[in-house]
Amino acid sequence: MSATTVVTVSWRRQARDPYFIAGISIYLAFLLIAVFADQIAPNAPKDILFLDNGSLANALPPSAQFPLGTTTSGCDIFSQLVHGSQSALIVGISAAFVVVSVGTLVGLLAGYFGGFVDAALMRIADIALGIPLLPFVIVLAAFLGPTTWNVVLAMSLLLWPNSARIIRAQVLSLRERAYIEAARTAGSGHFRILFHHIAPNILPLALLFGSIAIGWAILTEASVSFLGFADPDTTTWGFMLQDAYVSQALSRGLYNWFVPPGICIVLMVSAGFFISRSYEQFLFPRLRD
Amino acid sequence: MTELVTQETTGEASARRDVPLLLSVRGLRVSYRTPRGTMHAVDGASFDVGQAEMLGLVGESGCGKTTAARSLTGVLAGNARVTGGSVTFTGRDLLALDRQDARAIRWTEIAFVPQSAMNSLDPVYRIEAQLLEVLARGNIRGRAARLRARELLDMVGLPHTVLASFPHQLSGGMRQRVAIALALALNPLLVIADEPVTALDVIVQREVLDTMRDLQRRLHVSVIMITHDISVVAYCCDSIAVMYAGQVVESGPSAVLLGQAAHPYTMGLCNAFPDLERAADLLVPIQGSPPDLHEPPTGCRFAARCPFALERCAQEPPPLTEIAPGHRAACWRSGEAAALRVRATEASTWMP
Amino acid sequence: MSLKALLQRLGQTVFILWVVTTLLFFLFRLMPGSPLAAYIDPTMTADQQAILLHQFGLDQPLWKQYVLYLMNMARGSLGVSFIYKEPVGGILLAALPNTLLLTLTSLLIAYAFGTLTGALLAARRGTWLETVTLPAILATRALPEFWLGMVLLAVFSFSMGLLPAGGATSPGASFPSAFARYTSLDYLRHLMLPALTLAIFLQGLPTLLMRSNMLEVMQEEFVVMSRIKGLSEWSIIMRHAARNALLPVATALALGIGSSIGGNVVIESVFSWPGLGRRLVEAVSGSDYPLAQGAFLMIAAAQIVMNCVADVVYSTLDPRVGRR
Repeated sequence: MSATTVVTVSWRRQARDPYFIAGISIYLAFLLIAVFADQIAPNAPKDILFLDNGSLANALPPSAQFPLGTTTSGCDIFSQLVHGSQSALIVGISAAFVVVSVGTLVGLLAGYFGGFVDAALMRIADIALGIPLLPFVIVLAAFLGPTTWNVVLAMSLLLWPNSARIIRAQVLSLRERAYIEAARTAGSGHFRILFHHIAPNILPLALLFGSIAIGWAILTEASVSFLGFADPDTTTWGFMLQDAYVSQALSRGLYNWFVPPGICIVLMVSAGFFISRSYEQFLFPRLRD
Repeated sequence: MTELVTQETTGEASARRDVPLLLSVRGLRVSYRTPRGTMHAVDGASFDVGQAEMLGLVGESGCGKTTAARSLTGVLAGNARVTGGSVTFTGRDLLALDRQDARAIRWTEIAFVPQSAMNSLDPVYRIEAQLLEVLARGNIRGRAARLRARELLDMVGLPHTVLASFPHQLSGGMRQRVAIALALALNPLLVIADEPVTALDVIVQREVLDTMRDLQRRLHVSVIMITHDISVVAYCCDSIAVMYAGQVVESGPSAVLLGQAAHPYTMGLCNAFPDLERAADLLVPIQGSPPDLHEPPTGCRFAARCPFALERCAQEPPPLTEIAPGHRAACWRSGEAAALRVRATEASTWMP
Repeated sequence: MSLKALLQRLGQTVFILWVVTTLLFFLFRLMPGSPLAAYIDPTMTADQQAILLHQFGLDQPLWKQYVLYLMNMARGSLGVSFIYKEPVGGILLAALPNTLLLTLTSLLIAYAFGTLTGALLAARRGTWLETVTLPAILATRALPEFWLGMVLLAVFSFSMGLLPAGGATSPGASFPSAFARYTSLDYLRHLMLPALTLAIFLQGLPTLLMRSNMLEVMQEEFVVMSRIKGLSEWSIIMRHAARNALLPVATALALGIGSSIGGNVVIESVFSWPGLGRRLVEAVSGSDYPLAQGAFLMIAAAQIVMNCVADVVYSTLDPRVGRR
């Protein structure tokens, strides 16, 4: 619609945005919970628990002993929830990191060098965009094994084009600026210009994009877990939901089991959106710039 | 536009005050709310426009001329407010109109030609559709409207093939002519043209100005031509109003104002453009820059840059007074204008 | 769009389709076991095995297999499902309408709601309405859609008993024709919850996009000009602002169709909705490789084709694009 102008991130303005503050606070809260999970959670997430009278502590409603009740197998829901934050952060941050790194690199190269490099990279991006995400993750998880890292791998392979497009558009605008011309005349090599002059202007944007990518990663991981392709050794919020579904928690009305994990996911993903809300263009991966 | 050619024009008529006034602006005040506070973009501007007269509203960027003219249309930026003054148009007070009445006279009586027609035409509609839309406001529809659309294009010198085009398919000059056609569609009484030729190259500029001048004469339409280029107003305007820092500092018929300027700023402006009859080394810019309108200075606003300023000038703001029939100036030393003009033609006067 | 540009775009689409099918070919060869495992199940009869062996050239060198694979793809023969013992093509075609109906219904609701709400929010900038609804809508984009489905299912189906708990039709129901089935009340009742869930999840994008575009467009010169022209508020908002703001939304819709078909996987699982996504999950869980390949391919093809459609739609609506 309107021409692409160079987007500069004003951290001062961000710091005054209530959404930004809310988002950062949520992240910090979950970070603390994840780091101190062992201290906060009374039980290990997969421990099967018994009551004092020796019977299985299954499907118990919330109480002082079990703040969110227990699952049908006798596990403490609250402890599972707390430990879930660990995998959420690990998966979220690592996937986001890879996606944004690859995307930024591709965007930088395509935007700066243009021509054949640009065309080739954008073709590859088109291919990545043509492959449906969840089906691909499922297939990969089925073949390579249902580990967290395979989920991260699948996401990294397919999710980078959006950030690449946005970064590329910014580089295209920056490239025409006078100081770049000056640097080139002064004899700076391509890579020096790229990493010394252009990259610093792009990085804040990439960071903000990363906050959204964390959200996508968590949602994707949750979906994959729900479908039964999760890593059985870790406790993720998605796994909790799958467990609940399979154990008929819905028909039994065990809201205390399946509502909290969902809320946690919503909070974490929203936090990512809130942080970059002022840069609304990130929420809408566009077709062609 | 590089010649300063003055023309004997009908502006003389309004000097004799027997041409009825179409528009009379007195003490107009418009402010903007900005993060830094209130910016008084227009702070007491007064000028008149007669029937079938072309007034040139001239001044450097930031002097408030666009804001003043836009306030006549009733459509200002979200953070702008008219804070004072009166605007009398065909006997009615424009500032006192309610929303419905204000909207009713828009385009039917007061039209606007924007600075850059590129962005002012909706990109997804063809030219014919945009003309028909405006004509519908005047209840001209169907066959009559299509005829009128063709007639308008003829008036501005565009071929009928333009009707089927989208804005981005036309050149800058053509788009500007479309904008003029749109403005004239409903036979308004007054057309406000905001820097209509600034974005065009020199040759096209002259053509568009000739077209405007010609149309203005034929249709007996009044025009306010806003520009920072005094040679443009010299070329085609009947009368001129010079604005500086939110106020009108001098106004009058073109010939009088250019030949017998009474305000030092006007004298400086006349110097700033080359004239084939004078030596080229006399191109003298006015040193300094206009005051910050967040906190306008007391006294005459031009005093800081004026080579003829007295102590009184910085303390008391001179009122806009009539120094000759139809010729007004806001300067304490307007009585000595003749002598000051001679000094103004010397480059040394303007050196700091 | 000019003919040349259109052909170029179509060519690109075919190219991408080819690349993806090729990738799929190699991906499914990654599986443990011999290449036969991709098509032949030990429980098949010897005759069946022989037919498939020949059809897919499984005893031939790799490049021959590839060519046969492409030819078979083009003809629509995708092998025989291990679980159902029937040709994959037939199974997928039966599942396709369910996926399409679900996707299109929810997208329609989501986009209709989204464009109107987005325009409304833009018009009510800075009011309490915005302060309250904007975070709520942002939150809908953060929802795991299957969780929303679970909650709605629990509330409306199990707790309140208002709507069916899953599937596309009631057990034992029969219909005179496919058309009758898809338009029956029974089907619609089953469609409601999954479509509603998806719609809530999907409306965030068009709402926020429309709002953002409207805000941008309202600042444009030509919108200000239309106000100076004295046009009515309705005319300004609908004929000028919205018309320009809609362009990216229309593109998003086309893109949404493509990506929805793949993303529906989880919704179809929650509601046991018999569509393509459910078949894929079933196939992968049950190591039914032919069905998995087929389902994946169909979903990918839909996405790629819709990406192309989105491009064409955008350049048709925006006269500035494509007239090179």
